[in-house]
Amino acid sequence: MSSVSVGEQRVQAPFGRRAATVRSVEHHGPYTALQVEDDGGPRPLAGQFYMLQTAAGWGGGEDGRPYLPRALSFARVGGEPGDLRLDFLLEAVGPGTSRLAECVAGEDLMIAGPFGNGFTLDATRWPVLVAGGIGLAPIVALDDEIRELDGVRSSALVGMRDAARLLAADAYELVHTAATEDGSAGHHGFVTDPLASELDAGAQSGREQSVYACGPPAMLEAVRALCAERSVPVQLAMESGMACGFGACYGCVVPTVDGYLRLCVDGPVLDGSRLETALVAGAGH
Amino acid sequence: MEFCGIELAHPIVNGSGTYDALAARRVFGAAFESEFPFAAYVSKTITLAQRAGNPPPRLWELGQGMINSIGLPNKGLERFVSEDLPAYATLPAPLFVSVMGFSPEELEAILDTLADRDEIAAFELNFSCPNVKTGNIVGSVPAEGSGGISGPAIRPVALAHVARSAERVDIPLIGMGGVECGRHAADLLAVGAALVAVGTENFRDPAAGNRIVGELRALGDQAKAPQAV
Ligand SMILES: Cc1cc2nc3c(=O)[nH]c(=O)nc-3n(C[C@H](O)[C@H](O)[C@H](O)COP(=O)(O)OP(=O)(O)OC[C@H]3O[C@@H](n4cnc5c(N)ncnc54)[C@H](O)[C@@H]3O)c2cc1C
Ligand SMILES: Cc1cc2nc3c(=O)[nH]c(=O)nc-3n(C[C@H](O)[C@H](O)[C@H](O)COP(=O)(O)O)c2cc1C
Ligand code: FES
Repeated sequence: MSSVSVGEQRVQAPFGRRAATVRSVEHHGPYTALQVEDDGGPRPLAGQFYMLQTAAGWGGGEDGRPYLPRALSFARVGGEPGDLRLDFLLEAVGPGTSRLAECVAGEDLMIAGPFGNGFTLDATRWPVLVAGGIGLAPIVALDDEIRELDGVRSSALVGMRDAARLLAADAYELVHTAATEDGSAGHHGFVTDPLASELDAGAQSGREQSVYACGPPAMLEAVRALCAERSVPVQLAMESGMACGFGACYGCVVPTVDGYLRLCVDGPVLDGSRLETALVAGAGH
Repeated sequence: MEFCGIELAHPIVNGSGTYDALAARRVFGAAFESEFPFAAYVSKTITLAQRAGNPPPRLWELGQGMINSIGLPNKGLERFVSEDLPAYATLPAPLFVSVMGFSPEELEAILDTLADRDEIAAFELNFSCPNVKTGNIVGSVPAEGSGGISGPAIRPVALAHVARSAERVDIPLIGMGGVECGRHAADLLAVGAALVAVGTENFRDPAAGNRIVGELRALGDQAKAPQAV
């Protein structure tokens, strides 16, 4: 269905983990944005992710956790290799993300990455970007990549629980159509409503579209189904429980039409046509 | 140093199933090979037939480690030989292949097929995966809903087991269980392990093997240095 081969867009990671200093911490509603100095890493591709832990005080929370590092997509990259800045956007949902949300400027993290594949942008089609909740992070990164290209115009749709969470989309200057579940801003309902309208309008005007989405499993599944019905190519940035991020533990598998695959090395971006469903056990929150 | 007649650069290897060197090469590129973290590479356990492994979720985090129920996903013997063995042969370290049979006959069939492959330096026989049922269980008792515990939580028990085993057997032992640093590796070597395997710590630090080798050397140098009074 898709004219591009999704899966092999990747920038390789330096071997091992490295120290990276938190440069600033900002709060956007319930979300936290960490900007980190990654002096030792290459420029990643939108959709790729990092494994993060704090250099000190990792552990000792709920049940003594966290112990393993946590997977986070980068939301924005600035500067040049040797002097790179990475933005991470996170929501404190458990001991790992809570500890990261408590970070202060000047504190050291240990990071490894970039891991996984990035989105494969098909510039021959109008990109429709869809973000749900904290899935905003890689969508901001993709929007940044698109804005660096000449003459490619795109649409972005953002669905959040409430207006407070939408503050993050504004903070990153993402021009978007909003939907909130509580109706406090934009369309009252799920982001898949404006997506259906956008796809139908595109079809009527003969505009070929391609969808790029990240968000909770139920949203990704609704997006996948909408696109499948309309034969619109879709790439989904998915989540699953990850221990390592580089293919070592076999913990992060998701079922696809070709059997289980490790989301950390063969994803996190998957072509919708490879999935029977994006509702995956152990993913999201 | 020498282990079972195999010349090794140092005593640190990986625990089976805790490092996919082929995936790591894809992720980290050439640096992974030039800074290869293990003295020998232990493959993930292979079985006669292909296995998809257990459905997700497969991992649960503990404060001091994790529980896994992976279920030995692997390509099966035939595709291991045709696809993976040639790739493993290009790694810069001797290859130990971990194998498991669901019956003694099956184990024999696997070993017969692999016995005279030059790419393989040694075999590791997996008799005790907690996540699949076999006729060969030696160690843990498999049950529905059980999993393998790994990481620092098991370190004291593992150290005691290695010490006791070393007293009772004359064969060289590979000690493992919760090794996070050179000190932990030194403790296992001190109670009689010939080699030390690193497992879960690789997940937190992909280059843990290199770090632990360095820490071990530093401990050795400290021991050799004249002590201040
Ligand atoms: C590739 C990738 C990119 C990601 N990017 C981001 C990002 O940019 N920002 C961000 O905030 N998060 C991101 N995540 C999600 C984030 O990694 C997890 O939410 C994080 O690991 C949670 O850790 P915790 O200790 O805070 O919470 P935990 O306590 O580990 O879990 C948080 C929630 O997930 C549920 N959960 C955990 N494990 C399982 C399981 N095995 N089965 C079912 N439910 C489970 C828990 O019940 C809980 O509600 C990403 C994940 C992946 C895989
Ligand atoms: C995710 C995971 C997968 C594993 N897979 C295998 C395997 O395929 N075969 C095997 O013999 N041991 C397997 N093990 C066990 C490890 O090799 C090792 O013995 C154990 O994890 C203890 O060491 P550690 O505490 O350093 O992790 C696995 C362990 C983990 C955590
Ligand atoms: S997270 Fe370990 S294999 Fe994917």
